[in-house]
Amino acid sequence: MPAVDYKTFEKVLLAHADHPDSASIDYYIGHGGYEGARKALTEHDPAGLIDLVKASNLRGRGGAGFPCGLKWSFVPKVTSKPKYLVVNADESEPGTFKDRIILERDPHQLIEGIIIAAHAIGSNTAYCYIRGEFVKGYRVMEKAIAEAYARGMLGDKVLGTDFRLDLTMHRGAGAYICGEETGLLSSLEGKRGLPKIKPPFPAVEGLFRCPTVVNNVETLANLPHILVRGTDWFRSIGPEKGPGPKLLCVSGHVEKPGTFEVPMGINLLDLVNDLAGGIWKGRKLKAIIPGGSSAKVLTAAECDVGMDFDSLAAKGTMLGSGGVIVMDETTDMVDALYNILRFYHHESCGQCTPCREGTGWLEKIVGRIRDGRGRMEDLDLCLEICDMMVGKTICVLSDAAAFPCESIIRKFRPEFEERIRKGSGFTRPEPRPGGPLVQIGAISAHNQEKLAEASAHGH
Amino acid sequence: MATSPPSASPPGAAAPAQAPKLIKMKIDGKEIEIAPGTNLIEAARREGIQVPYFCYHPGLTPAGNCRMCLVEASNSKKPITACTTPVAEGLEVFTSTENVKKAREGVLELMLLNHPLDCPICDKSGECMLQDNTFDHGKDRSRMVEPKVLKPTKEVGNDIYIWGNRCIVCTRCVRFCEEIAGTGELCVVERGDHSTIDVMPEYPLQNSLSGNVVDICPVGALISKEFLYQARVWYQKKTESICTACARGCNIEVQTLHNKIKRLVPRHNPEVNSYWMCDHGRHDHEYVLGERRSLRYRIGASGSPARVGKLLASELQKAPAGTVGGIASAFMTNEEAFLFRRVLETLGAPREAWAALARPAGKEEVFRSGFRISADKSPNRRGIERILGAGVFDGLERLRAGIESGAIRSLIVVSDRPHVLFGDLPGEKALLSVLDRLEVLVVFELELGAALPGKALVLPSTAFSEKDGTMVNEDGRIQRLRPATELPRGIRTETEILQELLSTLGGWDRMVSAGGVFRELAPELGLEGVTYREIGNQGVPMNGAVTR
Amino acid sequence: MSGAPPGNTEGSRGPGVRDGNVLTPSDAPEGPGAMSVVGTAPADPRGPGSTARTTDAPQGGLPPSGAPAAAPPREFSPEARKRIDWLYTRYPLKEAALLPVLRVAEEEFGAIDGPAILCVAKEMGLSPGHVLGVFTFYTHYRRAGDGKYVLQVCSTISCALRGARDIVHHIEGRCRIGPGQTTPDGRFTLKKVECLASCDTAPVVQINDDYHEGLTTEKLDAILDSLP
Repeated sequence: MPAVDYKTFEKVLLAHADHPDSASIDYYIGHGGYEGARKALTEHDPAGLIDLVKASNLRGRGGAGFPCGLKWSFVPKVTSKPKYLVVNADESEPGTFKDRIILERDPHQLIEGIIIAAHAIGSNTAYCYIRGEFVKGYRVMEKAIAEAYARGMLGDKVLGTDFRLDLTMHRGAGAYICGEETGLLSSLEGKRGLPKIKPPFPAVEGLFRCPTVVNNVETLANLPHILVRGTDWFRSIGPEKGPGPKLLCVSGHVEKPGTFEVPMGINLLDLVNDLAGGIWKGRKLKAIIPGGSSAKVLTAAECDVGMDFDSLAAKGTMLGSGGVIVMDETTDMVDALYNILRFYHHESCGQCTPCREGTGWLEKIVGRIRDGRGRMEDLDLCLEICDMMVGKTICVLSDAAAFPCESIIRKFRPEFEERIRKGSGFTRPEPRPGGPLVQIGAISAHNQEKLAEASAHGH
Repeated sequence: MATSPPSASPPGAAAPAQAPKLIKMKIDGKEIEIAPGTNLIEAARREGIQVPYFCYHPGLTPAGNCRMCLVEASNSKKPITACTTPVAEGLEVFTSTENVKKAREGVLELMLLNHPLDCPICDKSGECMLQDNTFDHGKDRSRMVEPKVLKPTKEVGNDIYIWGNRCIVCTRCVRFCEEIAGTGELCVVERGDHSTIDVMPEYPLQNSLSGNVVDICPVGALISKEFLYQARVWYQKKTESICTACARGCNIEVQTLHNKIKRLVPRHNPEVNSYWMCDHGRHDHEYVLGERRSLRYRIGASGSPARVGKLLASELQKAPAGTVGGIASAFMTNEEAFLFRRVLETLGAPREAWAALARPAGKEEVFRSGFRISADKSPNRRGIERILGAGVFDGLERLRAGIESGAIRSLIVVSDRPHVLFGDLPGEKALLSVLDRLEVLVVFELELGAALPGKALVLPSTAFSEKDGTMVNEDGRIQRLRPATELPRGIRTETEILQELLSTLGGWDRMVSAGGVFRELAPELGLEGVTYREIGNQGVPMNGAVTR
Repeated sequence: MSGAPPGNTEGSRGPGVRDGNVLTPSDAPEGPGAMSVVGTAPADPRGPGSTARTTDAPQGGLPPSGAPAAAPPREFSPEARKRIDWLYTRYPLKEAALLPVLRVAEEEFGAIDGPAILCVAKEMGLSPGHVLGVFTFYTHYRRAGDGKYVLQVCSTISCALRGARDIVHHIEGRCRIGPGQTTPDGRFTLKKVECLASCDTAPVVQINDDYHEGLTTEKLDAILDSLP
């Protein structure tokens, strides 16, 4: 594939994000805003709009990369139930911070995308589920929504047409699992954010058991541009099968962490070494997680790869949310893995046995290795646990915990083995395999006394 | 009751009367035809294939969270949960491939990870789904060496405790409180492996169906204080019977240890009580060996229990024919009532002198699922009305007047639960005041009650767990009680004594069991040719068609 | 800062709006100082029998049961009621508004504690158990016992790679509290939280509603010193 020309690439999604007035509707309309929505409502019927987006090959930007138009087409055309469009603004994948920029600095771009998507699936009611911590983004969006209603971009007659659309902001309250599509719907229904069994899929039976489409913020932000500039233009950006502008978030051990808007398919090393200023402090690259913490890790030698869905999948990892986490040569991979596993353990909803227990167990084992109390058999044990967790649960958080664990242990096994051999000089006593009947820490003070007494009397 | 399917009709699955076209599919290579809407666990069960599960319960909506019922299917690359998947045309399901076995092993190892080794002190041991499934599908040792997650043990209400360490968060109890009871007291709090069951302190578990959550808990996480440390389930004797706390007649199992009732639990009967029973019935057994139980025959120095029927016959024949009255009880079995009527008929007791006593009406409770606790707190009102006559429960005042006027000179009373004759039921005080006028008074009493005239012949009667017989519930369904506890020493059943009395009077030719009495009685109930065998453990509708 | 009420043009309404008095979303109370000081809320929302008290290995005696002394029932203020009524109009089912209504309660009562849960449950016609289960699932609501300023330090991988641990240690040293604890004067609570989606400006702390990014220990000290 020819090298992607990212240097001359003109920004699309973040074209106006740096302007101080970028969030105001006047600025937005003054720079061609809401033209895409106008075209969608006046020049296309829903079926035509779906075909258009299918033709653009736009794939979801939330993490799964599912073709957007195809997802829309699963919504039944004829139904007596109301249809819902839900915006997934719960951005919680570690290493990802792109949706936040759109929410805080270009909210009208998102609202315009919502109008287009709602028209395509025949929805008159949209909800934007924004994570609880994004208080600033919530306030900016509320203000933008009020402006949109005032100017007729939302409400009974959107842009003067017969299309009615209501948009409501709905704040989350601190749960990564509410970024999972059906977990989000459960939370939106006023319940614990527990993912639902699929099938039935949300397009058929989703929010309040009505046909629902859940789309990511960045996915929706692409829609106005596709409408205005056409599918040919869109498909020309990056690989044909998964094209378009992409917001990639680079964090970790680089000189210039940040969000970069680049064509799909940019080489990962170009992204990191050129745009992000290269590894910081003059150090060398050790590993990169290319798509948020749920993606399998790439060793330094494997990072010569295009950042697009198919190329990364071919390399055994994934584009995911586009959160690129860079680790330099000083990174303790054991500690890094522990940190990631602790995240999944904390965020597991607890419904399914493999995830609920497995995430906790993995964190404990790797924690033990990190503290220097590991055993050689722990590594294969972890891999086996990952096997128990993949493909066996209601949602893929379990898989998302297993992927980094399995890939980091596999690709950095010598480092783990060295750590186990060396230990870390920790003086806590070794737990015995098979476990004592009562674990240390599990005995109450009262019983500890009794135990001490009993052993003093030789029982 | 927590693990094995009930013996009669298969539980839970939709099997409509006029079934639409059956679905053809394959399970483990075998072609089957099955009603649409059936889930794969039920479909497999019908073919004799047991798919293991925890969170699934045929009386609740499936949750699919334990992941134990994973099976492989032709319509999915990943294994699917059998409990949430309905049968589908052409589907092929595989329940025992290597992948399925490994998945089960994995689920069990992870489920046991933080589960405490409490079996030695856990009441659920012996009827625990985790024990059983681990034995069938799991490994015999744990590989976790780190300290386990600890959760609190606390009361959640109604003398029910949650032992958080044991909980596998299957949410059966939460779904029960939501869907069946409709009260929603229980909830899961926190998330991940700190999930546990809890209640708001101001709203503890208080509904009258709360005891069921202990039954349906697959492990020993929900524990009833009543049964705590009381008995090892495998030592208990289990008898199928009927609850007698109200006219619903929930099907139950009486569990006893050393002849003491330790626990009553529900049995599945889709026509009567689904899978549930209420707390009133659950606790309604302490009286059986309670302090107030009447255990002595007070029949005179020369009387002997072994020949008491004959004694009664001679006493009752002293008065002229037609001057006998009788008071039956809505707690008698149909067989006892039948014999009682024969006695009254043989002695020429006038119909105006037949009466019966029942418990005063109580509170009806209806729950979200439709489960109903009846307002009628007597278990066999309908049977007594059918056998002794419809107006018999209103006959007390008439009988009293007859005694007062001298028309009635002897009286036989059978006083069972709940009332202690002569207690505080309407009309009883008035009756008490005229008892001295009687020449002969025979009382079968269950519990020691008001002082009876010195010349009264008092016999202990039997409690529900000692009776063999049938009762009719408020829907007109005949159901069988079986003896679960032995009779207290020296006590004879009413069925036996009444037969002895009747045969001495010449109205009965040989001693038979309760089943034999029922054979005589059946035609009157519209059940020609029906025996206990057809009644089985699910009962049959009175006057109804009986399928073998 | 009031825009037009949603759908006020040509009489349009939100989904299921019942009558004309529709609040604009921007009428919602806002501003970081809007949070009231916690005051005398009980230590744990779930009362003495709750998860806060952990028992360990089974000891044969069951812990004492019993409800706590009844606290006076809470009521929503008229402003909060207006907001809640407007929220109901945005969803086809009242119960879907639970998370936003909990936010109103958080604002109104300063934190979500036992009485707040009962108040919300009564208002929405939900079982208190359901509200308790939902509330404890999420980590971002203020709980009784949280300090005036909740210092939420992001500790996930990208921030960890750029020194989050130092920030935590610094706060521990400065405030003499560990993660999950509150200073005795009720001013600061330290929490280690998961990814705040600000990885490019790591390390990051969210203090109540506000993000403070690109921190060094010096910058952090300056911020903490400047808090009213």
